[in-house]
Amino acid sequence: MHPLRSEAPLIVYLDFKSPYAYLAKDPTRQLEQDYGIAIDWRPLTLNIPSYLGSAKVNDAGKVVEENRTPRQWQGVRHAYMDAKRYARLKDIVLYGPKKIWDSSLAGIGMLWTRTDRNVQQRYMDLVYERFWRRELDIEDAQVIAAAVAEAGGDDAGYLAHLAGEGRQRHDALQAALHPAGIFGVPTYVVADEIFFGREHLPMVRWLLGGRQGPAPDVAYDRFEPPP
Amino acid sequence: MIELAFDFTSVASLLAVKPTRQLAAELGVPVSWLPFPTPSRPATPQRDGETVGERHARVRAEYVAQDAARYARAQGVALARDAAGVDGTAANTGCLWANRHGVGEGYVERVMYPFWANELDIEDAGRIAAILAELGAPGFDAPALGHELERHTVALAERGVFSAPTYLVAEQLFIGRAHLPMIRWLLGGRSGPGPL
Repeated sequence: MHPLRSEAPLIVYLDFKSPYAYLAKDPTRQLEQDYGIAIDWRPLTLNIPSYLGSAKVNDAGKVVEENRTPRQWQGVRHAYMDAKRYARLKDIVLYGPKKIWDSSLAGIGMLWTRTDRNVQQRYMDLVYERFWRRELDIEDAQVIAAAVAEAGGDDAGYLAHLAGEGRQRHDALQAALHPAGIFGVPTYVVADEIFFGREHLPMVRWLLGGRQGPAPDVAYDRFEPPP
Repeated sequence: MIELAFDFTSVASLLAVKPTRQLAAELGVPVSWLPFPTPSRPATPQRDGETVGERHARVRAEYVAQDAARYARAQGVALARDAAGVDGTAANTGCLWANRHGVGEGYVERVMYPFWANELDIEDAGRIAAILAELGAPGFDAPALGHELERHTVALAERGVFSAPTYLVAEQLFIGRAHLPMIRWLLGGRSGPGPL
């Protein structure tokens, strides 16, 4: 799987442990309806400690382990506050995670369900919603398999895939991302360009819509279907 | 009122100027231009043996530069340089002087765009003083105002600012111009569904 190439006109990279990716999911999916396209959804499993340090909190929310600079803490705290204020406007529940999760099993589930768009959509919806409600252990393969099954997919097939080429394909894709210029989520690959962040949805829409009118600026906004 | 903490050496601040002014004009509210020096991080070239974190930072920095260039094109703004190693103290201090004389917005326009077009040395306090004088704010003395910039920066940091551009609106902080729809919604009385 080449990180920048697809039969679809738009590749979107997401990570289940990113609140920004969660916020981006639905307005991004709206592009499929608005422009009559199929999106190539792919996992980008963030290695957060490598660039943002790491931390763990207890049930009372107290930090019990950490490896972050004050600047990193400031950035992380602001990011969660920012994501939550937008989430509230859409009735999305975002509970701050107690640790940095390994989301690769869930990402492999995203790849496994991609052969059936409806299954993949249901899978992504339920994994995002329950993970951010702290109701889903995404590091447990059986839990992810159950989510695949609930979404209408083949859970036994997922587990077999995970034990075989699924893990290899996922890891190979992750290794190819930095060299391709991709480093975060959500990332959009459209018209041979890379856009990081849902603030680029106006530009993505402009590109998918045939570049009508002046190019738009970045914006976190709601969008009307094209005329 | 839209309060905007910005830095002349921040390309994201450059790209925030035009859309911020447009929104302020649309809403009929003034912009308070608050200089906030941010650290300048020189680009790190790719090297053998870089860690995952170093590679992440490099790839991200390369992306940020490309992204700024394409939106500068979209805005019709000249972007002919980077700001690595540039000391923005004189320009940022000059903004305090301009604000004191009620010419902050004109000053931002006269300094920000020429700097990024590579037509103005913002480390040259004499040039900054000349621009201020032309705008009606004579007598600028950068060294004498150094402590004022420091106090002003600390005051913004105490309000939670740590990055530029940051909007301070409705007792909230918003980093980046992408939040302008939210700011429009907040200042417009929160009517209708909020932005996403």
